[in-house]
Amino acid sequence: MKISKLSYKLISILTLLTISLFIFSCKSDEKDKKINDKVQKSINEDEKLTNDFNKAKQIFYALPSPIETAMLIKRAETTFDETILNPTENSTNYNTSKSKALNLGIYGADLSYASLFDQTQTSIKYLSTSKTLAEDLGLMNLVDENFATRLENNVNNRDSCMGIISEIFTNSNSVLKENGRPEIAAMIIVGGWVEGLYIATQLTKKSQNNNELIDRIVDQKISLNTLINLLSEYKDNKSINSLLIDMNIIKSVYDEIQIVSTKIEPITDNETKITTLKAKTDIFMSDKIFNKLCTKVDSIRNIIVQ
Amino acid sequence: MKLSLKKVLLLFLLLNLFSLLTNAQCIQFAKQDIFKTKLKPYTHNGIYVTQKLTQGETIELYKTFFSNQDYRILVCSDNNLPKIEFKIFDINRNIIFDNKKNNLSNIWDFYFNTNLQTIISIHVPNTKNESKKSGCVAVLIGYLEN
Repeated sequence: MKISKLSYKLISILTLLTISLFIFSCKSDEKDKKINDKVQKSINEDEKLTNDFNKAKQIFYALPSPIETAMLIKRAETTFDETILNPTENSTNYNTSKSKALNLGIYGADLSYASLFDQTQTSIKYLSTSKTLAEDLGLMNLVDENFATRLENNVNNRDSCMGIISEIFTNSNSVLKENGRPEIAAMIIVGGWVEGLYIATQLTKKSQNNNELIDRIVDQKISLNTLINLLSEYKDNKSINSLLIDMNIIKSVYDEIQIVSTKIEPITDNETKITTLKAKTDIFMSDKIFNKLCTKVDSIRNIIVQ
Repeated sequence: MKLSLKKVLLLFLLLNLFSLLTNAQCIQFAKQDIFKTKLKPYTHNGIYVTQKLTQGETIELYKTFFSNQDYRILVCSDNNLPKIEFKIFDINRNIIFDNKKNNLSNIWDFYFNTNLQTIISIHVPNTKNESKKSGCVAVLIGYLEN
């Protein structure tokens, strides 16, 4: 299949947007409120501070956006290794909506990783596979044609591109909700999240002193809680429920990692008005726990890609 | 009064349509260029959190910020609403920022030296002797490129 450079950029962005859809802007409904209530109960709330906010609250969850994620990966100074990706040849094995959605997430993460390292040939290969799976799931129809034209016209203007991507990001969320297919979106998210974690853990094996990367892996403890909250919303769905069990297995390992932070001290510069928030965070994680985490992620990811 | 199934369905559809239109209105509201301008020189992270709120209502946004990065939070609201109150808490509900102590400023610039999960709480205050008003409220987050 021939794909022009422009189309490649365009479809790459579309795929990444689709994959990151619900992760990055998940608005809650009544079910969220119930889940959140449980979370809230476990938190020792300071009543004085919350007196003003005594009405029923709507909760939003925001994991890192694609733009932020790209920034984080760049900063971790990792290298590209194609051997850790899910081979595109596996795509013919995926026959159910669940396996297609999960592996669209996986391939999307692989594509993102390849794109970040300017691996054009690999990216085109993963883009083509992602596109096929997205078409099978009927996701390509969700994107407004005007968006494609506008993006093509502004492909050399970075600020405009970012603006259009942000716009699609917001619109796509509404469109998927209107289409009543949030479970599929949740599965794509899980695939993408698992693959991101898998890539990171695999890369640490080759670069064991990459503390930045290890920190990013530990950071996913917070993201995982958000992901579990999101999946819990659709736990009546059999496929989602089995994913929830897998995510809780990973969570049980994360729970063994201790993160201790000191109280935050805000210091505001009177001239710039910028507040610096200082706190010391210590991570207590033995090699044994880290290896256990890698093994669990490895095992769950490999079942998905089979 | 008897309502036919068709009428009930029509009513349901109209209510849904109204809800979608309201949401679409707030998305359009959040995308205004003026807000992007207010965010500069920070780059928008691509996420719009926007909702129609009535006075007295609150929304909360769970958001993780990463270390060694400059951020800006911008809270925008319809002109008919009073100034929005917003607070930032850490996950244990320790308060980090309260705009009431900063003249109800709708912008906060900050820098963390550690990763931190926060709860951004947005509240539309009531006003005395007036009927409650509703309008769109949006939260935009920007970061400084290194």
